[in-house]
Amino acid sequence: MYFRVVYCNHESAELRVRERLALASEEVNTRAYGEFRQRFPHAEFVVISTCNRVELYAAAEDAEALPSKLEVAQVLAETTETPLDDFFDVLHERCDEDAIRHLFQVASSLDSMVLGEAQIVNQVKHSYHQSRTNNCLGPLTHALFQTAMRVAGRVRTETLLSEGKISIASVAVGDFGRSIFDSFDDKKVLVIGAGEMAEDTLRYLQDAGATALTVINRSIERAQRLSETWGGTFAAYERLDDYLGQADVVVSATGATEPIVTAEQMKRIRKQHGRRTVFILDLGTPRDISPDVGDVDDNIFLYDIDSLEQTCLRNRKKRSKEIDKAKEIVESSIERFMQELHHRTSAPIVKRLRDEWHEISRQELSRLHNKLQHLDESDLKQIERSVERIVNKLLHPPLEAIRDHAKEGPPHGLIDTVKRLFHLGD
Amino acid sequence: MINVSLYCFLFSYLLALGSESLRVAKNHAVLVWVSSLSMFAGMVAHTIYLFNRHGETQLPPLLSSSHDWLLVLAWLVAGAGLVLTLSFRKLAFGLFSLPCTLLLVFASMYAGSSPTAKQVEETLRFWKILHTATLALGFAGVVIGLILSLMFLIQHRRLKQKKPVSRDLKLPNLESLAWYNRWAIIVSVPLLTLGMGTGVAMILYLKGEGTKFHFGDPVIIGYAITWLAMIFFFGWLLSRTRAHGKQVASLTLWACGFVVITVVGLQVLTGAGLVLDSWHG
Repeated sequence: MYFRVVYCNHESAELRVRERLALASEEVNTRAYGEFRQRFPHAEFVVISTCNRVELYAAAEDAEALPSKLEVAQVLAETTETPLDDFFDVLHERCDEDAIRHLFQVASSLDSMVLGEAQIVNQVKHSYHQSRTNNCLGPLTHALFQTAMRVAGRVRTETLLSEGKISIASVAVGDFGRSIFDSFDDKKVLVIGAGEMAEDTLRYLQDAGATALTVINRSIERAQRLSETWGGTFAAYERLDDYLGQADVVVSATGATEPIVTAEQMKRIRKQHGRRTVFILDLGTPRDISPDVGDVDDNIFLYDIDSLEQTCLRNRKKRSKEIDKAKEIVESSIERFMQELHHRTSAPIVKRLRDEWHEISRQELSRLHNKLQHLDESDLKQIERSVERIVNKLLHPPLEAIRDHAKEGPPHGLIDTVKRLFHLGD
Repeated sequence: MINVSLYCFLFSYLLALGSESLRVAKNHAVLVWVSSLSMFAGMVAHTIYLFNRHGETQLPPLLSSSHDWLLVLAWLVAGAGLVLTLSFRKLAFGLFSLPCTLLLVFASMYAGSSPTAKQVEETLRFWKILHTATLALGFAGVVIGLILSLMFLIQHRRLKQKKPVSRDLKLPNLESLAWYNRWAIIVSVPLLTLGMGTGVAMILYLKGEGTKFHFGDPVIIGYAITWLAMIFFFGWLLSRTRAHGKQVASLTLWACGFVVITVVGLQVLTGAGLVLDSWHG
């Protein structure tokens, strides 16, 4: 059983690269899964595409069935229409135990920009379901991702990683927003998008004192639902420019594949509505707000996910103890997962050996029963039990040896020996 | 009477500035204490020095000489810096207020220190105190405006460059800085106007009696120019309710910087009596 992950994340690739590779829309995602399924039919796949990472997890019984880094890159290049040379160097690859470790760390937010963020577990869960929908999930990836989600749960409950500023929104508002504004209670907040990120930001801004909240989304029903949940108002997407002109805080977290606010558009809006100080937080990947919007005038403070990198790095250093604790959980989980995995390799041979020996004992008992007709039912039962005990005792040493061996790695050598010794064949 | 020299508080303020500068790299609690205690010790020595000067000249420091007047101004700025440093230990007020205090103390060393107020009639004493006090408070407001605008521009630059907040030493947020900056100007300009008005009234009164006081004095001309600059800026500030923070801060920096340099420069240049000859103390 082999695992491979090919990925780029906030550490290896800049946002401008990640946003091009992001499998942001359902359509692109389905296309990518289709390509992987068609080109590597004997492998299982899960794609995680978030604002901070694009990762492809592959698993197969045979190493040859897995795609190489180049093959993964080629599929990504074709589905996202991005030249291979633009991103190949920022792609990383990890195999087997390292790949498993990587996923466990990703799921438990150890690899996140904002340490302890809760959103990543949902994103991993969502990726798992997407893989299943696209018929790319198999027993190996199923076991891997289920374990990853359990590890994430343990890290969340057994460490203090999830305390304090644990969302991108909270870091951005806490670090930059509070350096711009004294308070948020008198500020007009515009949230563009109605997804999980938008909701997370609304929650934080409301905690920070913001009351005048407006949600704008392409689907007005979702905007309405979100605004009702958080006690704000909603508006039609067509009125975006008006609201942009009046807002003090703008948070954008849509799944748009192209910028929804350009510099030209912003210049027009500022001319019409004045140049009030505005704090814009672009949490979209690809970015929702064109980066040159920040240069339109001195009163626009535009931040995207990469702007928070340094702050997050500093927060990470402050929580190094909790990181160590979380890493211990990850390591112990990897050990257990690997044992289970190796055990899966030996399980069929153990079952066959046991079945075969018990079958032989049953055949011999039946012959004995025919020869010794004078024995009554209770005597026969006694003999059957004794024979079964003998078989189990004889089976115990080889099975124990296989199990012990499986703790250290796949017991391929021992299995071959057992097969030859007991004529189990393939 | 405790004998305190100007160097006592000058070195205290220098030590405080040194620790404030070190706090930028690492905001250690010891540095906060060294900085606060040095500032406090400097303030105490500064106060005793002014008190001693009052004993020597038998005049309030505001009336006796340019030297004392600049020291009163420095005392006001140092006091504001100390109060703000103690109130907001994570904010870097001292780093900005101490250089201004030191500049004023240095300038006072070169300003005239011989008492001039005895030449004024006792009937004008109240008006002269009003004149010098309002000018001192107005200029203190101008210096504070200068400090706040500088802080605003640094904070603005950091935010535009997307640099994270310093964990050790923070600057106040832009909204607060803009608000305090605006009010520093709004309060200081009327005080300066009152100071200028009483000065003009005193000259008109004394001129009628055939004394040496006249409007052609370089100090009076310099003060009038700086006051006009502040009036112009004040008018602009009040008329532009939608003026944005960076614009206000940049103009404050220029206007207040011009005022501070002119006032301090005039005091120094007339102090030795070598470069500019002035009757104005």
